[in-house]
Amino acid sequence: MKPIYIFLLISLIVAPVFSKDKKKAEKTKIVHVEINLDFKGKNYKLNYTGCLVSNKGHVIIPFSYEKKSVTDARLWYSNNEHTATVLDVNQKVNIALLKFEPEGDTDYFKILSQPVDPKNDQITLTTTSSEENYFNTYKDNFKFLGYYFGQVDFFVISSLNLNEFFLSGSVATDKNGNLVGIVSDGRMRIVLAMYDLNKHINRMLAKSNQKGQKNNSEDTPYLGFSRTFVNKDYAELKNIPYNSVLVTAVFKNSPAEKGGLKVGDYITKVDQIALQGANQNVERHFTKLLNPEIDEKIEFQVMRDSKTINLKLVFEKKPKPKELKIDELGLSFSEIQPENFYFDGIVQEEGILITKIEPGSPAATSNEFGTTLLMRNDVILSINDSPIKTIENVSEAISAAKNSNKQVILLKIARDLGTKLVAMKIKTNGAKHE
Amino acid sequence: MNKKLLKLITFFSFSFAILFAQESTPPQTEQGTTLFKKVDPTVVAIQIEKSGGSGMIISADGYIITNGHVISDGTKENPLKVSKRITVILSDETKYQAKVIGHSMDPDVALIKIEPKHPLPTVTFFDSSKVQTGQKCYALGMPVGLKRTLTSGIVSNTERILGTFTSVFQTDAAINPGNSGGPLFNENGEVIGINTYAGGGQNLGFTIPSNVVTTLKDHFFKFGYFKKATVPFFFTSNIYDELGEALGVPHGVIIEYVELGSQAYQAGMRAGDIVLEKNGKAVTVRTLAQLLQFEWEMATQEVDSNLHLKLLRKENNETKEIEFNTKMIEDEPSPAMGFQKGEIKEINYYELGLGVQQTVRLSKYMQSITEPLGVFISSSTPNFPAGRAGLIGAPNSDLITHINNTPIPNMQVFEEMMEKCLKEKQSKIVLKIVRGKFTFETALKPTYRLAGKSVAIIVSTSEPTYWNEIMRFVNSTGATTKIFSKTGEPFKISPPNSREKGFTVKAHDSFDKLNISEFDSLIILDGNTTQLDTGKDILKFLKEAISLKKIVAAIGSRSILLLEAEPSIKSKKITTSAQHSEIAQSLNANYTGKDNEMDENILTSTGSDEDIVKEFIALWKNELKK
Repeated sequence: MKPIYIFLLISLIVAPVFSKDKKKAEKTKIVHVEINLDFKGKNYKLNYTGCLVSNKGHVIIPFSYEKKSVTDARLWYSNNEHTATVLDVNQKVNIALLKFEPEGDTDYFKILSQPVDPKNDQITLTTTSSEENYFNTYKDNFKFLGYYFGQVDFFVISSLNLNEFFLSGSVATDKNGNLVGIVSDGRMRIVLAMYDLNKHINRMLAKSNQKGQKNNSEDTPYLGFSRTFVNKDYAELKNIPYNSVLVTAVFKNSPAEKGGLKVGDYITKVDQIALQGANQNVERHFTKLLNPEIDEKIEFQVMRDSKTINLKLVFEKKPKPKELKIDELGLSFSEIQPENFYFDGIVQEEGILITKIEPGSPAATSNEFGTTLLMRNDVILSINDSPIKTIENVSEAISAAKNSNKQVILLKIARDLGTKLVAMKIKTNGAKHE
Repeated sequence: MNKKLLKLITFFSFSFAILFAQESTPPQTEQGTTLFKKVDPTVVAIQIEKSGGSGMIISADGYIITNGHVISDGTKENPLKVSKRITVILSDETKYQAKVIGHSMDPDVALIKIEPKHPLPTVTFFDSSKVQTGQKCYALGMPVGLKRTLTSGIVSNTERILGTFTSVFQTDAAINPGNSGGPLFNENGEVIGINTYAGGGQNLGFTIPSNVVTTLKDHFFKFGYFKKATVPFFFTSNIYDELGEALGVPHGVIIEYVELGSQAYQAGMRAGDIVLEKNGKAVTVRTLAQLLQFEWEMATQEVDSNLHLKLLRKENNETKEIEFNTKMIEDEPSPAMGFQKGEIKEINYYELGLGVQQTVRLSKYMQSITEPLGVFISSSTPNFPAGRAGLIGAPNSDLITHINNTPIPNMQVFEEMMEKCLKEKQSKIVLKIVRGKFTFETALKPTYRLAGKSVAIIVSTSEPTYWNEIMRFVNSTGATTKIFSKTGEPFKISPPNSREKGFTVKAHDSFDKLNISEFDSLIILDGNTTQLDTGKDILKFLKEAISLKKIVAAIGSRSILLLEAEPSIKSKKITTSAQHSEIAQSLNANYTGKDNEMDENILTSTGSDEDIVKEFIALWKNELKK
């Protein structure tokens, strides 16, 4: 029998099992979400089933676009339309936290500290539909097929008929009505497991409840080091634990440096959990265990010179470089960051970098190759012979140049391995009056 | 070396516009008519497999100048490869096959040679330094495949900079693809340059000045390639108006970078020095074009000749003059930049998913790498040993500095070390890697899919072709190889281009010691000499191999020998090189004309280019793996 016939036959058998609940929605823990998205200049309308996680109108959906790409979000709760705000997106985990303003408290799924294990239970999936703004639900019983512990934990459930009927975000519950996961992609039989989601949702809720600390959400937690996986074949040859990651750079003044992490360390455990897998998978496991959060402590076990050492590190706010823009020259400057030093081929670890050259400005003067005199990632060494170490040095040197009689300004820059002298015209204060 | 040129070129995007045929007005003037009559027989059409161009005769015995790109067939692995078949068509429509004497891609010039039956008329070169903007000029060539077209115009600019090694002339005489390699004449019918690019707009043609052409011609005659001279390793820049004003120096060349410990450094050059005099001649560079001329004179100075520089150095507010002598040495091949393919060779180990690149000082400079050792990884394929080892290919290439703790100074040592490791079937090959500012080790674990299989490599012609490509592939499969030549004599492998050297390979044994039953497969290589009688000695064991159902893989002309050895092969699908296709048909063979053909245990290939041979060896590997 051809597969298509088998499929048709089974769908005939399975279809009647679905009960299409056409009743207008009652007070429920589930909402229908519609998001308008601007992705690479194109508009998309996406529909999700959302899942209430607080009595104040907090909703989660599977979502991995940038927060700023959302142009409009609305949802239907108890058959009423509401405007919603996207509070937070965790692209890595593929969830977003939305909020709307309900009239009064809502019912919601409790996010427990310990997730419900779907393994021994029949799973019910609930989905919504946006048809004529109706709030409809479809229900079916599914069987748990197996877990996958990856960057994001998920499990797979059985059903042949998920394709058309289930929106992303459809809610998986056990027989007691506890939340066991949300469907990550309506077309697949993949459900994001609450094993992974619980802590992330709790963290997002906690973050959204911290009033008046809006700016904090833009602060990035960081440890300040880079790493690579250890090739298993090499590790076996040299008796190195292959389920480890190798520290390749420790940034200056970073939490990693303060915590004693060194280049060449093999990290084998994170918060006492041993890294698992081989090659790229170890790195994935490592990333998953990190959970970056400002002020959060983390413990690494590392192997250094065949000795095991435990290190305690604390996530800090990633320092923001001081920046400066000089409009007359069309140049933007910034302090050199460890990333620049390690990954952009910058030779100096400290100093001032050119980050932007405005088109049409004196700095963008091009030669016959069509290239500008100065380039992004040039490091300023001196301006008119006064050495440049800080952003303040730059503004001082440029004011001094403007107050001098010279019509040209001389910059010494470092580019690649070499240095270069660049001269360009500058409007002096004297010249202005002429 | 010119940093500006080399570095900035990367960002310079110059489009080779494919222009449609423009109606070019034939010159009505008497001057044009006379000129055409005079120069017409000196200009030739050049055809290669798929495209063509123009050329000019420079000697009665058949030396012809054209563009490098007209006769080039460069690949990523071998950018200096030239077309196998170059046909020259004279003004009287007679055709000749040409061989390449020397060629360069930047400047874009080639010297080729035909063997004419009669002495040929030749062009006369004019000193291009005397050419002036605004003077009248004529271009003769075969634009867009049209026969012999004369166009006229003026020299629009004598110092146009395009991101190539030298500045070029710009002209509004119509120049189209196909004009490439043809001459640009002055009013007297003397060559002022060689037409090379059509610009992105109308009436923008570019011409390499005749003085550059004649210098290169001399290099080709003498060395077979452009033997550039340099003092490693420094970069310069011109002192333009604003810079001159800021420094209080009106003109000159400023040294921007000197590599610590390099020859230039030892000679006494320092970054920030200003070159006042070169070889007793004042340096009065202001413009980029003048800088290019300065660089050109340096690069075309003879290797081993003396370079005398007078420098101005400012130190602690004091200015002093410094003089020194140093010797010019030969420059390394140039890496790919911008639209230039460069001269860097790449080799691939397909079974390892690893490609590596000949690595020159300039490539390392461009990645801010100071490590003197190593070769760059050009490609690393996921799910192959290289990918599994976590190696990274271009553009942010890892640098392999050691194999099993042996330092790797260049590609040659890399190839030798890899060959040794693979032949010994080492289970893990330890590589030391420099990645940006970090050094670490990793291990390659080859799969050796053909371990336990044995292969006889049969060399029945002189100078077997694609030797490196085939042997590299076969060795990395883990198969045991034994090389046979007629009497067990060593044989020569010719270099792929005039820059590289050939080498000699020792055979393991002679044909009469070949015991077919020892082997799972036979690979019969083709060579430069493709006369079939050179293969008669192998017919006997070919017959035996076929009857024992061994996997027999034959390249090019060697396919014909299979037919001669065993008539039953006629029923099998085979292919052979274009030259031998008629023989195959006359023998009533099942000749399909495909690049590669596989019919059960019989594999045949046209062997006409690297890609075909690579595919052929991959087919062979899969068949033998079964």
